Amino acid sequence: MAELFPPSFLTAIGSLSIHIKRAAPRALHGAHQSPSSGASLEFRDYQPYTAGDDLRRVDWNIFQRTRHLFLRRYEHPTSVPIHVLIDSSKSMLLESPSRYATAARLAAAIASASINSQNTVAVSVLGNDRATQTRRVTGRPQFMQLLADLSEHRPRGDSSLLAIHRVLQRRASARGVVVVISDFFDNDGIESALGSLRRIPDRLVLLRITQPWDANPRLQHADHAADLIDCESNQRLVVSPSGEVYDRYVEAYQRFFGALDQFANSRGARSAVFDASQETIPQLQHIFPAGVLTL
Amino acid sequence: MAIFDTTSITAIGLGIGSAAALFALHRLRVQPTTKTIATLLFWRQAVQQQKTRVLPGKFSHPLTYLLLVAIALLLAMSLIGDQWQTTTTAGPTAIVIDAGYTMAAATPGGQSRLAEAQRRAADEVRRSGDVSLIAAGARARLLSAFSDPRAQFDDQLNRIQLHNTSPDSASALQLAFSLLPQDHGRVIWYTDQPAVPEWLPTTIASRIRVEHLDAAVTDAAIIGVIYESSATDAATGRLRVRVGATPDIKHPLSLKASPAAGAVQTFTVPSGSESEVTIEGVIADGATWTLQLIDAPGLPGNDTVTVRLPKHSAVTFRFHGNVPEPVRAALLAIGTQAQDDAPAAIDVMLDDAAAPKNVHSVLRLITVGSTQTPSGAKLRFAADTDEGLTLDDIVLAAGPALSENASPVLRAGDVVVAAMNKSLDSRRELRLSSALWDTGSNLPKKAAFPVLMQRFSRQLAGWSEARSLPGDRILADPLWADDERQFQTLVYSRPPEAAARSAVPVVEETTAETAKGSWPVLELLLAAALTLLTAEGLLLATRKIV
Repeated sequence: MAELFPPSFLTAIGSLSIHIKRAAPRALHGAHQSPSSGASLEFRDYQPYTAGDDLRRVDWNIFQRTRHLFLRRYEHPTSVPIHVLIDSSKSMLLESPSRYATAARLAAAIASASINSQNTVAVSVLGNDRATQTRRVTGRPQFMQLLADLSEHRPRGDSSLLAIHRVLQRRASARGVVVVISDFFDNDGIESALGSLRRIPDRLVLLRITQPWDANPRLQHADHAADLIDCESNQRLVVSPSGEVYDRYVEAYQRFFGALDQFANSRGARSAVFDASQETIPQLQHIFPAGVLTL
Repeated sequence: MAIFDTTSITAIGLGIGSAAALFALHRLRVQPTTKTIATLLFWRQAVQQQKTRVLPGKFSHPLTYLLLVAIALLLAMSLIGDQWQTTTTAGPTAIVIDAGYTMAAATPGGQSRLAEAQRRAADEVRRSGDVSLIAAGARARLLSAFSDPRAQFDDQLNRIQLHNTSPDSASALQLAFSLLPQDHGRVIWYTDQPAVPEWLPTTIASRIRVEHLDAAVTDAAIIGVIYESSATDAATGRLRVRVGATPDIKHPLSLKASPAAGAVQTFTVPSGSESEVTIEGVIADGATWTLQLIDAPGLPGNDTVTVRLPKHSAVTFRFHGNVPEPVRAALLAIGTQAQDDAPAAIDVMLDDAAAPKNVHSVLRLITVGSTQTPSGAKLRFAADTDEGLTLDDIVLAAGPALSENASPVLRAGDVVVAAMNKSLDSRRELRLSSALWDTGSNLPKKAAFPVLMQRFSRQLAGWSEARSLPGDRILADPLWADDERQFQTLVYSRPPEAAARSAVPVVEETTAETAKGSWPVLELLLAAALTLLTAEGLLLATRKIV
């Protein structure tokens, strides 16, 4: 566990927090402002009375002074459930350092920030249906158990984005924020990947884990023929890289993730890219500027 | 039979030699290194086209290898093809060249289709016996008969001129068959038409060999371009491009949209006799867009149109002589432009029956009447346009002069156009400047301004989102006086049905409004008024006078 989550990392994520500007209706009690009006101590404003309104909310002092009926409206703080989904397909554990290591640290950072912000967080390591495991984290003891779970993880199959919907169907909490941490590689194309993401009704955060050679394959391959094997499907492909082939690779790569970015924009989703070959701590700034993840 | 004559043995020898060389290359190819990677997704797309062009790829699969051997054999046979052709092709050949205007289009090789046809025909006649040449232009022309020397054929072939019409293919084919014997001979037809016409009898069609030149000529065109402003912002919208195509076009076309400034976008046009492409996020800035429909490279025809977007950021007005100077100043103050020779300008005049009728649009302001009240003059008037847009009567609380307590909310240059006044009984009211008011004629000097107010008030009444003051200001606000209750409806968040139940006499709309965006001038005026007045927290009262 200390290898994946060294003390310096745990210290760095200890002060992170999450601020959610506008919570979803029907959320639990917590620290964020809800647009729905309810009963609490924080006054929001008045609303003119209309027929059918609850008379118990009429401010009779104002009526006495103005002879007009007004309702008092209040803010009530809410808690927003956060669900972190970690892709655990073989591609996440192939290289060294693995994409999974960065994904696990990001999940730990978000879990720590959620605890600090009095939110409930659940972390699911996606795999084939039976292999998917979910841990709810509401305090420090569960957080430490989460770190142990993430440290002991083994690859759990392919195309685990398909498991997203199954995991979300089983959850007991209300809708909130879903954070997907993955390389988003889907051998069936971008539409297959987006198909899984479109089915998520919650507010989305997409964290993409990359390696330097994803976008620049020259770093990994020389200019001679190579027999490439897909780590998940075991399909083979003989390629003879050339300038033109590399250009088309980059074009296909940009097209794929351009579509993903476009989807994120259309959903108003936060998205960020993390380099698995680099230290995770400095990259936390991508989603925690000044230590706060604002959603 | 001469199948195993000297030339055949040479061909077979060349083929076997080529096969041996290819086999050696196959065995000696560089063995690829094996590597496991995260995904093949992008590599698969990258090598999709490359695999068939790269030498190791060609030799890596036995089937491909066999195919290449077959190609090598065919190449060897083609070296002695002339001799074989002369022995296997019997009878005369009539060459028909399409000389219609579409043959000027470029082939992928860069030359015109006609030049490509001339080249192929020249190759063909080298291995043919008797040949004749017919050009299918506006009419069919026999350029070289079977009896003419071959030099004349070559000379006429190179001198074929294109006609700016469709080819008379029927006459050309008819002429070709009239030259041929009834029972043998053939026609080679060089054309960019898609297929042998259906009207040809089967017995004749079977003797025609069609040499296609490039893709079939499209008959697709851009048949309409419409700009639609968005529901929330008249300055942005989308372009709807309608494309028509003949039924024989089964493949999708491309539409290239080139704005005057910005990146070129390419869209796929769905196949079909009539389809539509929508270009979202277009800004109505008056810029010119070029829309090009692309089927094949160098395609001729009317497949490019240029559209000029509307410009919502500025509207030009053409003022007539009877429009008072204050009206001009009021319109200019809210961002419009005056231009005498603008072809699409809005003509502004005051209730003038003698105004010219052949103008783009007219905005008329008609005084209906006025009354005097203790708090100032109340003006009643209407506006009308030649597009049938009639604005409701309105009443504005107006004072002859600004008081000391008035705070300006709208200026036209140095002139205060409108101000928020706090009267002696602590009521807030909008007052028009004395500079706007002609007490003698009871006409507003800034005639356009009340129109803005009317539109503004209606917009206020339609608000469904909260525009509420903070709670502590509710009690302090003097607008809560009983006779000002309508401000609650106007200002505070109320669902539309609740507002309707309250029966507060706000503006009543009695006439239909033209569709949003069809009257950009008023939309612009409204937007300008909203910006100016809401920035000052202005509250506006309007009532219908019966």
